[in-house]
Amino acid sequence: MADVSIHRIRERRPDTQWSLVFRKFRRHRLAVAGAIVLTLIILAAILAPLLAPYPPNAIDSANAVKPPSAAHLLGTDMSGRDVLSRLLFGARISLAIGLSSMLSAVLIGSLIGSLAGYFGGWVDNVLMRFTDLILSFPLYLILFALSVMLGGGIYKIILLIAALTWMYTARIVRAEFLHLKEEVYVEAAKALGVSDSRVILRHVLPNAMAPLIANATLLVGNNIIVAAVLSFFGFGVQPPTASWGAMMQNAQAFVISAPWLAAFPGIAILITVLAVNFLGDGLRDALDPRVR
Amino acid sequence: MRYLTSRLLQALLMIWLSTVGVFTLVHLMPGGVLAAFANNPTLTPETRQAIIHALGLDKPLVTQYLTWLFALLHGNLGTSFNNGQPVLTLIGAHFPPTLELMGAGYAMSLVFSLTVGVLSAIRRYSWIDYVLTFFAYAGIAMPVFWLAVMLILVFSVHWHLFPVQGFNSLINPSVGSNVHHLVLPAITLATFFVARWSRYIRSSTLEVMSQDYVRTARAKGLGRLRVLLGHILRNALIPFVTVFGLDIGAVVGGAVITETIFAWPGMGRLFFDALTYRDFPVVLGVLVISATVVILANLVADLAYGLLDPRIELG
Repeated sequence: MADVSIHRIRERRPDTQWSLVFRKFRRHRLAVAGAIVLTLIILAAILAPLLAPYPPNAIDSANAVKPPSAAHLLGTDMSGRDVLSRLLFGARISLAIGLSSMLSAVLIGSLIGSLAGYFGGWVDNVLMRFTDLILSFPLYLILFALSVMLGGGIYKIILLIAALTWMYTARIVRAEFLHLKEEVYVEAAKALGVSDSRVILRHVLPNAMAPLIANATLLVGNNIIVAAVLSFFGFGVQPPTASWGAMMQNAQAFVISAPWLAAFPGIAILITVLAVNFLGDGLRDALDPRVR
Repeated sequence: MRYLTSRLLQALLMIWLSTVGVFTLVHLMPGGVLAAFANNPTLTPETRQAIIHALGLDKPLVTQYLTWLFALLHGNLGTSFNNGQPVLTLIGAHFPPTLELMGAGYAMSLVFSLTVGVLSAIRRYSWIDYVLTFFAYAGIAMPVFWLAVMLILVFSVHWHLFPVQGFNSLINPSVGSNVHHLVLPAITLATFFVARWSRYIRSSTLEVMSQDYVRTARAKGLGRLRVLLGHILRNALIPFVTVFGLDIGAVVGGAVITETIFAWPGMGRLFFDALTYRDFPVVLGVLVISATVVILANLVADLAYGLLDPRIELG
């Protein structure tokens, strides 16, 4: 009997970290649903030119402000443009801004957080006070002010959102570094004469990935909303480019006569951000070794 | 005491840094402080020079900053480019409505997030927990401005329960009209925070519920309500004090959006209009004051946390 069980143990392939994470993630049903919905939205955005029944900026004054019908599934706006087509193309803008501003913010946040956590002392003090300083301005006040001063343009908007949303990432990375740098393998690497930048990038940062990935996912949802708010107040991507926030801004004048114009872009944002947040929560639980 | 002093000094340093930050930001921008006048074709070069001289813009930036800071310390934030009124007077006039909206929003958020959070914690994994959790997720994923438009659509346009917008204390100063106009903006502002805070309260309540002293309290026969109020909530709400204080920046930001949509005559509106007219003294003033409020609120939350939780040593 004892013999058999030993064999069984040997035959089983060892669990890698990622297969464990994947198994835990699969159990989180909402997270899996979020991942599927998000994949569909990304596909819809990529395939927008094929899926959209009309060109997104095709003006058709004869058919302006029409409610949803067979010809226009989600109706038309004040210039007779097809709402569904604009939503599909708008998804590209929202996802592009959400993803790339997240990437830039994570880059800035990891850089500042790892320098502060790794070196400690005055470096930590200066960098963290700087982080606190940016956090002490109400996000939308400073965002509106800067976007008025800098002007529009999608790249400026991405960088602006990134410049104002990296702070929590920095705090998380710093906290990870503070306890990881005490680990024996870091000490060993240092004793072998490995350079600081290599210790940070190859030895510490990979082990700080788990909380970083969950935080980055949630940041995408957050930044999609921030970008929509910017567009809604006219500081975002400039017309006639379709973006979900700008579609809502245009719809404001027709809230009473054409409520679907305001409703659909908001629902699109709601579904996208919900999917991203479910995914992020699932990843956070799956990546946290304390959650079983 | 030493902790208190160092925390106070830190807050003062932050406030000073924030003045340096916003001043540099506004003055280094393309177009600079004079952007408001740049597009005015009736302006002769001489008048332009006179304005530059009168505002001290021909002096070095450091001198300009020190002049501005010195005036600021004396309670003088300059005058508006737009209507020539002192910035402080403008802010003073727009502050009470914002305070009212934020107060109502904060109170509403607190009451509902407590109810929702505690209810889903003590009925964990029941249908009511799932429903409340779903609404919390939706509340976080919803853009504030969309919620505002939907509320207007349902409650103002469809059911005619509340006015669409435009509280005006000059036309109708009655308390009834004020409260009537306040309902929808306050709900708009509160929704996000009810959603966010109820999640915190749910998880910290759950954490405390699994503690030994709660089991002991139950075992010695104390009533459910007594245990909930006296043992669980007393401990579960301590970490929430920090969240409550830290989120004030987000509340201010939410108030700006809400005020603009509902034409609420507060600081958000003032700021928004100032941005549109490139009225930089007002922009600077609002930024500095809001940053100061946020820094002080964080300080108070920090100190309150230390006072409420005897396990935290202030050394």
